[in-house]
Amino acid sequence: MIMPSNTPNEALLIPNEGVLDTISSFNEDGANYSVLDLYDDDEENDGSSLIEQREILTTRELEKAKAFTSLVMADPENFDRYGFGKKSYFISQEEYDKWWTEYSRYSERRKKKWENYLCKNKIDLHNDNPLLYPARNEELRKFVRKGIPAEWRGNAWWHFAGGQHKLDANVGVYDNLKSDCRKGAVSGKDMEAIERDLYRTFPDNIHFHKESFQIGEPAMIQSLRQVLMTFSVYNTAIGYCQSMNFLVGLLLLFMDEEKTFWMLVIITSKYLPGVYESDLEGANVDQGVLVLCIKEYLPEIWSHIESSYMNGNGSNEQVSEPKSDQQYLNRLPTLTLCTASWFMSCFVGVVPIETTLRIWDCLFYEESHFLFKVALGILKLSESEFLESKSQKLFRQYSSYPFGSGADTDSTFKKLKNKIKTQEEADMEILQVIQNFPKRLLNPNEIFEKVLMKKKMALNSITQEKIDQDRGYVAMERSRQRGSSRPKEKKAE
Amino acid sequence: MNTSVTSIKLVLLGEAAVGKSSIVLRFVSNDFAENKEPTIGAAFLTQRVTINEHTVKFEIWDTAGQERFASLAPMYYRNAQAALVVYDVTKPQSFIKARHWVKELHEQASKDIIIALVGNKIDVLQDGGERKVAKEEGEKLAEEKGLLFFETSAKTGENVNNVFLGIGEKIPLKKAEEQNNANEGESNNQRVDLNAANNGTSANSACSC
Repeated sequence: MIMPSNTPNEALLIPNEGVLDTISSFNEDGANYSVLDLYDDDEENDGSSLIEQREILTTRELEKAKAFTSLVMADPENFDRYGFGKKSYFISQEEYDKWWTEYSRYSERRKKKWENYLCKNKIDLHNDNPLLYPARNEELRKFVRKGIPAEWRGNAWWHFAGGQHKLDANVGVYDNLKSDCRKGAVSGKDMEAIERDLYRTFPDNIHFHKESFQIGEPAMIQSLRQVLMTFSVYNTAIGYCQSMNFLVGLLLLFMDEEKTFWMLVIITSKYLPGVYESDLEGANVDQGVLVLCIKEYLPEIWSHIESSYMNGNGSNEQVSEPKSDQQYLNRLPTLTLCTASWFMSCFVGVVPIETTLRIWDCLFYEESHFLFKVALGILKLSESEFLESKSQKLFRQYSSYPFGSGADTDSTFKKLKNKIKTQEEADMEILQVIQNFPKRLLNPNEIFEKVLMKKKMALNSITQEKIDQDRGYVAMERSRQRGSSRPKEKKAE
Repeated sequence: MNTSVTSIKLVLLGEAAVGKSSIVLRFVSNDFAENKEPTIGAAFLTQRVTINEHTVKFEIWDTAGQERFASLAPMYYRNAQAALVVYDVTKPQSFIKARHWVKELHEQASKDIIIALVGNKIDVLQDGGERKVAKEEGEKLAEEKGLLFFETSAKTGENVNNVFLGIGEKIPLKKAEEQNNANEGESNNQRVDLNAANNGTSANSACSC
């Protein structure tokens, strides 16, 4: 579901007509609705159901409605073509508009190139939404790296991820599972967890937001529930895991329920195996792989992680020997507490939406190793920010200070120590940078052109084979260590 | 005013959707968002406050509530000096979960960890919603286990700052020697005076320790 940026375009993918109605009325009628205006309009049109509503809308309810953020009351200009709010805590509307002026031109230029490319390859544009693409080749990969046209994304992702093969091999499965759901196949635990997260999925997106005057559920919420419930029945080892709501939510903006379902199956089995299962071990394995990649490709950040281990946690104890890979893999560095969610949600909500979509283009074309490249790319870009941060500088000064050589030194040392305290303080600063930096990556080309498309950059030599190998190695190391010593961390329950 | 800073590592634990992130958002940004998105993995935030003329820096790990993320929790509470165990006063199940967390913290976390039991969403009661966990139940658990106890509303802000104030008062202040080494590099901006912003009304803290 894409709201055209300039003129309405009927050829845009319409996965869910109920939602489209909302959008078009939203678009055509313009701004300046109020909750009460809408209420009155409805009353004229459909008095019967409104008697019910009038009873609900007591004074207190109306007060609440006013306090409630009403998205419809807001200016449509505040939302992007997918219905997401443009501004965030990290990006102002002005910043967004300024960037969008440029980026929308970039997108138009890219689309023209795509059209020429497909025509050259004798591929039908299929009324501005191609169903097929040329066989995999370097040129096509470059095109995908530079972004798939927004209106084509649903079909393109489906095509590149091999969705149709999956569907053809499982004809009727989705419908059968749906009917199982109706017969009560969803476990109480999953049902409760899913219900709890429905309205917590993209609450600032107009398609997922229920206005206080609305009686029924938004169609998008119903679809979200259906896909998540169906999946929980399809794969009982996973059931429902938080973060899948964001994956499904974003897919639903681009394709119908059944396709979304199979894309979720592909993501959870092919791209991120074991990641969502009840012990999240796959997520830990991927973090171990990321740590190995940092060690190999980002030495500056690695040296920080290493000194964090050597200095102990929060104390300035004697420096011990660097630890072995095995130790890092078993006790993952603190930084991975932040980066784990990057992988689980495939960067949804981690970076601004247009950047997420560019990452997804490549994820479905190039598979999961691309997620590792993006994670390393973000760390690389944020590196300068935190390596230059104040306490980091002080920390280096302190680290290189000659220990225990006379009273003078000692007092200076004490002063320094007091300023920066511990490695832990530097760690905290790094965590904050890593957490907040990606939220400002409004312009996808910032990371794509500066890092991901630079052939010379070492991290771009990472291949899917390498990631798959590393996953095997890390999984083996972790299970070996868990087998030999049952860590306390394992929850008793 | 004393300019030394005490850092407090604090972790939030509790069932999904009880309002952990909302409590943090209220405390750190004095803000509230309806239908806040679930936290995946964890979020890290900091906030500086002034308690009894002493600056305290809270380093907060806000964790994911879903059961399967619980296996990661020890990474957060391993070195924590304080924990907020949060439940929803309208969800009995979340109170049972809170009991489990208190038990696990007592068994696995640092011996002198300060735990605050927090019953959130009391605004729902004022809006006509039904209370399912009696205040006495919370108080009783807190008394038995030696916890601080608060009932809060992240939505209205009621009593939220008091939770952190209560924790801050329980953490031993810096030793005199350390206090003398005043920290010149610390900036005072964004500091919240909890004593001034003491906005708790009806609910108050009951502490047995």
